[in-house]
Amino acid sequence: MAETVEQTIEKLRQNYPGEILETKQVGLHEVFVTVPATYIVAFCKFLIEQGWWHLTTITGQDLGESIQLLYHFNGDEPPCITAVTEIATDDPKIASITPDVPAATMYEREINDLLGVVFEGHPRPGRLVLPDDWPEGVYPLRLDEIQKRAERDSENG
Amino acid sequence: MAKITFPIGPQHPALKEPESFKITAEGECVVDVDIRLGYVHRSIEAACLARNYVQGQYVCERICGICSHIHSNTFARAVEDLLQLEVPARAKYLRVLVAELERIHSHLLWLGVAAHEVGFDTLFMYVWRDREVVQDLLEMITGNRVHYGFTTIGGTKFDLTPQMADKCTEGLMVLRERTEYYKQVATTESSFLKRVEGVGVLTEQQARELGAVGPTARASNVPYDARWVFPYDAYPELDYQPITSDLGDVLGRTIVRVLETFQAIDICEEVLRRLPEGDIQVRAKPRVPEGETVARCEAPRGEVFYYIRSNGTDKPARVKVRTPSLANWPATIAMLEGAYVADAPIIIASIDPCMSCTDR
Repeated sequence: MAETVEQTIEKLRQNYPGEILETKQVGLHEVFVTVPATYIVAFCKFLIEQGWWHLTTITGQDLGESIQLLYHFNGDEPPCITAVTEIATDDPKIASITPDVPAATMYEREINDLLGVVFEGHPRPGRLVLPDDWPEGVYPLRLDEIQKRAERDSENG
Repeated sequence: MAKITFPIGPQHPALKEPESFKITAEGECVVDVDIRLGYVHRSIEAACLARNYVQGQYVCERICGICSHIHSNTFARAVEDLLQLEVPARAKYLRVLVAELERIHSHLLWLGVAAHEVGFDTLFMYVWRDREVVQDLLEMITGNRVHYGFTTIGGTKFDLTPQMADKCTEGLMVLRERTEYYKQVATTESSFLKRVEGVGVLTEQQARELGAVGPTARASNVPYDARWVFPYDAYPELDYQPITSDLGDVLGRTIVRVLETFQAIDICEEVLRRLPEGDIQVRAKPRVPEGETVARCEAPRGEVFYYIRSNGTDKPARVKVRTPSLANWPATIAMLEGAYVADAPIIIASIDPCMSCTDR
């Protein structure tokens, strides 16, 4: 084991020139770092420079008022870093990291399909997983859609 | 020369699973590729939200028919982390045993598919015949050829009897001998080499930038393997190194997978020797405390990633699954660009893609 989680958090806070809102440990060797949405590209680039070279994936989740995006990074040894940021559900826009982190292309397109987040500056936007005839503006992982499905399922037994 | 754009898939004789590649070619060379997924999308992430954790584990196991154990194992590990459960040592070893048997079966399956894609159907038939040996072992231990239902939250469902262990040892000896032969064929048979050498090259830099995982990344000299980088289950007690190759082409990926099959056989034998006595399961509460967690496992195709958030009830609030095939598509596009159209099927097959995993 290389560094402890505390050492990594300390190092991040010292080396990262921008604003870090919150840090916490998740599981054995994951650090969740919350940063403002406007600086997400800069923070992801910083993580790659610091040795967390691999973007594992991006998780999107609807928290009601906001949509939370988690950019999970890892390097060649623990701990791993997840950059957490939130954007407003009624105006879900964020800068795309794909021009700087090419590994993000599929993940951003999938979140665009399922949660309706617009990744501005994505070099190849467009439907990835939903069918061509899927209605515009219906995002299957939004809370209201999950609620609708649950009601429909209970009606149908 | 004029460029033409044509589709491979979603229904195509050269591609056995439904996924759509829109290929733009200039003469015989591929210049651009666009991928469209979702033809086997089953909304598994959404389905998990309507089910409790025990049901969710079964749903997640059905993401993939080849690496099903890894999905249920990763899900269980994430929930155990939220519950702060310590799994018994014997269960940890048994999980590794099934995971490595699954790796043997998956890599042999891939070798057969790759042989078939390059027109070497004799090898395909041979490999798939011998793959039955490991399938029989898995059926003996878990009761099923696929969807083993072996892992449960808090341990494993089935124990290994001494008779079963003896059968495993015998089966592994047969597999080692046969894999030795396949290693020789894959590295010396000229008709095979001519179709795979220098085809679908992925440089180390590309592999890192495009986020490749598993044997695809390791064949491009990126020594990233979740089993040894973030050891889980019984892996911290097993001392092995990631297998890499610096060839970066389809041959490199073949060699890495064949050598990993040997490594998996070694690990199985060591697990059988060192299997501790004791319980195989601890009780898990149905309600999971509020929180979020992440679990990573090394599937035969690469790292599987789960993110689970709990809201304190018996159903998860979010389950995110990242499968290795999805992570490898950007790298596949890079391999295809500049390649010959005729090599597209073997290049696509070389990452061992699983479309059901990709779509979920």
